[in-house]
Amino acid sequence: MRIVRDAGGRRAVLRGVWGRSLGWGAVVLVGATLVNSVCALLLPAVLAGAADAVLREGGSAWAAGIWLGVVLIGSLAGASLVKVGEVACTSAATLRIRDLLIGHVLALGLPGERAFSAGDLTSRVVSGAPQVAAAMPVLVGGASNLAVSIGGFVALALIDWRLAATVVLAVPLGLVLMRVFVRRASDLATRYQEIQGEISARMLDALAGVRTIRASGTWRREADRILAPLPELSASGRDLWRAYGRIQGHGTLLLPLTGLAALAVAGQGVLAGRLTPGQMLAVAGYAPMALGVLGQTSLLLRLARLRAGARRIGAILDHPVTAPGVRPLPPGPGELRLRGVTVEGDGGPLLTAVDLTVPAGSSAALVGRSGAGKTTLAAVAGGLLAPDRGHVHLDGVPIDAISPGELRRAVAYAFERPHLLGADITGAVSYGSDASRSAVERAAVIAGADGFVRLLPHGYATPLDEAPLSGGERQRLGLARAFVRDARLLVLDDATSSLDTVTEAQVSQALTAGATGTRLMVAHRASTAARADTVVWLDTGRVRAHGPHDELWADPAYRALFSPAAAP
Amino acid sequence: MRAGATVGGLLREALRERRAIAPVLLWSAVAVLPALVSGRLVALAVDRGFLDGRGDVGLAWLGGLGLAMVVGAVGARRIPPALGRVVEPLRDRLVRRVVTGTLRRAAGGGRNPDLTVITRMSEHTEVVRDTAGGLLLGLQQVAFTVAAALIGLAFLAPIVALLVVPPVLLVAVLLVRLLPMLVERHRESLLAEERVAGTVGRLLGAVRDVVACGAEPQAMAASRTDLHRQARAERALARAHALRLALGLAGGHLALVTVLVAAPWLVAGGHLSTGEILGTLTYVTANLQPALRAAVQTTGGAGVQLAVTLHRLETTTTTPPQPPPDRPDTTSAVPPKRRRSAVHAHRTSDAHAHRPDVESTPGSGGLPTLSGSTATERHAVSMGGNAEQEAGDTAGHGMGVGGGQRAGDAARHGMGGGGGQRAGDVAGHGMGGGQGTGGKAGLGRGLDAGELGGFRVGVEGVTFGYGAEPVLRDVTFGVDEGFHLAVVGLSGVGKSTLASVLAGLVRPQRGGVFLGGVPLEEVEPTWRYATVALIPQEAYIFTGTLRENLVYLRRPASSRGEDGELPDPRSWSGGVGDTATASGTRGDLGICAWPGDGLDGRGAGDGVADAELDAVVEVLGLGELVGRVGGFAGRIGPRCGLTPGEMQLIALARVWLSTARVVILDEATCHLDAGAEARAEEAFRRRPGTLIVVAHRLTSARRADRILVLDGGRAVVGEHDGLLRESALYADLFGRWTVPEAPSGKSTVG
Repeated sequence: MRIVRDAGGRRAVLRGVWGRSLGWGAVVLVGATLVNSVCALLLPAVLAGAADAVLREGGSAWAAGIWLGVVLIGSLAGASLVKVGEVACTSAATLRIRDLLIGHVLALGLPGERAFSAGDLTSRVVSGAPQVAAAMPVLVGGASNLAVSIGGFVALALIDWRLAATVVLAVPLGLVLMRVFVRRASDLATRYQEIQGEISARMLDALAGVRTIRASGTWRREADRILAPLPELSASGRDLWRAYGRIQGHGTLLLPLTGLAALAVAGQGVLAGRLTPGQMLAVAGYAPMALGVLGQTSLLLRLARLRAGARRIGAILDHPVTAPGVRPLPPGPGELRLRGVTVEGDGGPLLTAVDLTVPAGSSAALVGRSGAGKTTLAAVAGGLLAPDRGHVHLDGVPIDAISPGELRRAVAYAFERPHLLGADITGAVSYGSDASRSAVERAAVIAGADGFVRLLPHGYATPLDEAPLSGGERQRLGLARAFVRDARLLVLDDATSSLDTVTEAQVSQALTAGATGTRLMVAHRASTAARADTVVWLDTGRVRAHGPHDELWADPAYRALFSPAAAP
Repeated sequence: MRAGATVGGLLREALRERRAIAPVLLWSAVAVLPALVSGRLVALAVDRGFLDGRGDVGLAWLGGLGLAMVVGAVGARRIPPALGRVVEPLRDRLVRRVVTGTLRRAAGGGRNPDLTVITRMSEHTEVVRDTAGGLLLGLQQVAFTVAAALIGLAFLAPIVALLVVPPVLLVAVLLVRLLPMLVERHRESLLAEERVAGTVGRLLGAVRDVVACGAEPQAMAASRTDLHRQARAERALARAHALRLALGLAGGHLALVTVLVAAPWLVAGGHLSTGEILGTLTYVTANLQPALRAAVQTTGGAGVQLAVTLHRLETTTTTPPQPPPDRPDTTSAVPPKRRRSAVHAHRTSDAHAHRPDVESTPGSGGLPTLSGSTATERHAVSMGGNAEQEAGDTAGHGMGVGGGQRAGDAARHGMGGGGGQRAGDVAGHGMGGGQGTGGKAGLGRGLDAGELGGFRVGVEGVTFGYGAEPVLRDVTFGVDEGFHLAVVGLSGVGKSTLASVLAGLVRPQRGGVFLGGVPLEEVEPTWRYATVALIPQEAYIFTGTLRENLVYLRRPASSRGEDGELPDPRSWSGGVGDTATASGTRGDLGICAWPGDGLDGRGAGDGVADAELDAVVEVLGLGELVGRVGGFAGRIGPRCGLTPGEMQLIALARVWLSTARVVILDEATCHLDAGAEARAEEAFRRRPGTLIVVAHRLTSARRADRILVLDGGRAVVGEHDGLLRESALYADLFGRWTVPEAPSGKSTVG
């Protein structure tokens, strides 16, 4: 019944990076890199040829000049297009991976939200995706650097094998030097970051306690406390500069000295007549190229980081998505029936074998201590969460078989802490539906939101990020968002908890009077439970009792649910 | 362009440090020696040596070049440390400015600060440090290399030098002219990325709502718009970079071609020898070209990033946050007349509105990571947290510790002595009270109530709101000195806001709060801080000794006021030498001991007798905690494994020890069990003064003399039995709700 699609996360990431639709970015990148590398390899030789031609008395320099012109233009165009191509590839791949991830997370829905924290997901999408998306430029660039290095070496060997031998001797020495200094510098950098992190952490500590600081007027003292590690940060920073100086001194000396040695060998070649004077220029160009292999150690590092990044993103995509239902939902009054519903949580079952029928058009209140499974049951009842065992039927149709579009039109949710999305207030209320402006206003009136919305700077057209909303105001907009949908099943997950008594009474009155649908609401307050046709009392994931509030009230344990000790 | 000016300011600031900058210039001059002599020595080696049939002479000249390289390397090695001495003080200044500015703003604002903005800001400081170092290093290298190459060229072949200068100049001018466009595009790209982060963050935080609304397609479409915009901005930036890169390369190439085109005539005319041609080409290809390329990369990379980051940093640290339209800002909400006097009276809390020292200097200090591309263009080693480094570990190490805060805090009020002394002005009240002596409370009632008329808290017609709807509407009540009031209401209804209004953290749009009959905003702030204490739900514990945390609010008579308070210079004495041990320790214990941090916690002149501390331990039941952390000198911190309940106990004890005579507990006991909560409330009831408790549990309301029920912004005050009858909400909260009662005459339902 439940079809699970294997997402093959890692492969999906790769498709994102290499996908067919990579388009012109990849073409430009590869083409430009090719041109650039070839020109880079040709340049010293062509330059040498040109120099020789110029120096050769009476000889014509035209052919050499044209060659040089072509290579120079080629390298210029190549180098700048590489930059364009790199970014085109990266940005296209970033976009695709982000899109893929967002789509997948939305498809995962509530279970995904339970598996990954929102902050973690966001960081993977925001900062993780570009890292992975850089795969193509990293690989192409790395390959081209390697090829140019090898090409430079081969060119040296072709000019004179002694030159190649000179360079080979320098490489191991260089690698050792680099290693030693880079490692030492990175230890120091770690220390620097620790101190820096300490300052940040102290800052965050102080900000977390800002209300205390504000109340006691001690911000200056706090600033001094936060800044206390600053002298050590300074000292550590200066150590880093010294370490960097050593790298400067030793690291950069190796390269020119090797070049110089190659030049000396080439000079001997000129002396012996094996080489032309112009070829000394070529040697001066090829020697650093061949040594470029030293810089390639960082490529391995980048590749390792790429793989780690791909794994992080792949982990999300590997989370299987339940295939959506396809059945239409015939018109109906909204009868809700749960049979043997069990939901497993990390630390044991959240719901165990829950049977529940809410007759069409009636209202049921879910009560119980915190952790009893009320929110889970509310999520299962509207199809936000699929039960591990058992079935949920809406008007006789299994809820997981209904096509998502139809299901969402039939079931509306309002939450204790709604997240409002959309451009402005109207957009936030009509979010996900095609409700008209007047329908939005009607729903806002029922939810008790109309009054404060009209007080906003631009009324219903106030952009959300310019509308300062209190928790109670958000809750009412969240209610309006549910009401506007005119659904046959309305699930209110503690959605009136922050409303004052008068507003709450008005909202529930309006609901009772106006609504035709079935209502399921999580309740913490006795008044809410008393207004419902029936109360479902949940205890550790099981239905402990159900019936009208007045009947249950006789049970002292039931009354204790609303007693002071249990109240929020 | 403002951003460009900012960088200019930074550089000027850096260059003002003449004494520090001189060594940089000196060593740069040494480092550039090989570039200066390279062409000349190659020319000599070829002409006098290899082409003259004298290999040894050629080798000798090249050996000379090798020697110059070694000397140059010695110079190059000295540059970064010298630069560090320029850049580190700049970074110090910037960090200081950011921390102080942020904290002052947060401490002055009415609402809690956005932590993500703050976090980003400390990232920005690091970017500035990284890029400023890279930029200075790069610019110095480029300038010296170009100069050396041109000077060398001028001596070797003056005509060639003349030919080469125009293309180089042309490129330089064009690069500078293109800079504003680059800065602009970089800024756009950064903003687009921030927008994506915002949109994605909001969306992924609201998956439940999106799915429940069946709005997946709409959400995808909305996020795609931002994703595409970001990709476009990034590509536009890349095109600008490509253009500049092409320009930089073209300049070098142009110089090269110029030399080659002129060469036949120069050689034929006998102006230049073969070696000299090779020498000029060495100057051009080995020095000038790489330097031009580096110039493009340095200015286009580090330079642009620095400009944009500095600009953003400045706009976030200096301008006060924009109050959303119609949101009454804490200052603007006060009627004009009162506002003047308020500003006068509230020097400290209002300082953020003026922030003179932050605004006055345009440039900010910046610091170093050496990620800047240099003329050699290889192996940029990153110092500090730049992009190459895993960004992850910067943020939250589990280490703690506090700069041993001297309890020496301020207060111009004399405390001590017997009760009821009179002092002249508001700022100089004598607070009397046998500290550490009399009564169970340990503190006698000391404030001279004469002027203030005691510690009665009066609230008259207070209306306050953040948004369109007021959170508090026309609230009026009073709490007499020595009385205990509990505030109850639903979550999010404004109980904390009421607490903030009572403590003077925010000022109501209408109405007023009175302390002993005096309007709260007319009470001198330092004095108000010493008299009114608010303990919020989130207890603030700082890294330091338990003792330091406990005596935090004690203001010894001898010390100066908060404004003039000086940090204890010994409070941070961590030595570089401790490094290895330090990281080891921290890793193992995850703790509170930052090396050499702080005082030893032994009193250090805080003027609080151990007996007093013992008393509070006894009263609040802190004994087990004190034992566990190793006595009053034991180190604690917010990231040191204290439970939330223990942190609340410490915050309570701190206020219990303080001079405060009006204590407001804003769900300050929510993490304590019911017994500990009762014990804490009892302790404060027996302490002299006025007690206001925002109740977390309804049981705590039962202990109060009076109960205030807050419902829909309105307040009803009464006693338990009466409220059960009079307040539907109160009855509901106690489960006594009976008959559904239609709200009469208020039908807004259509």
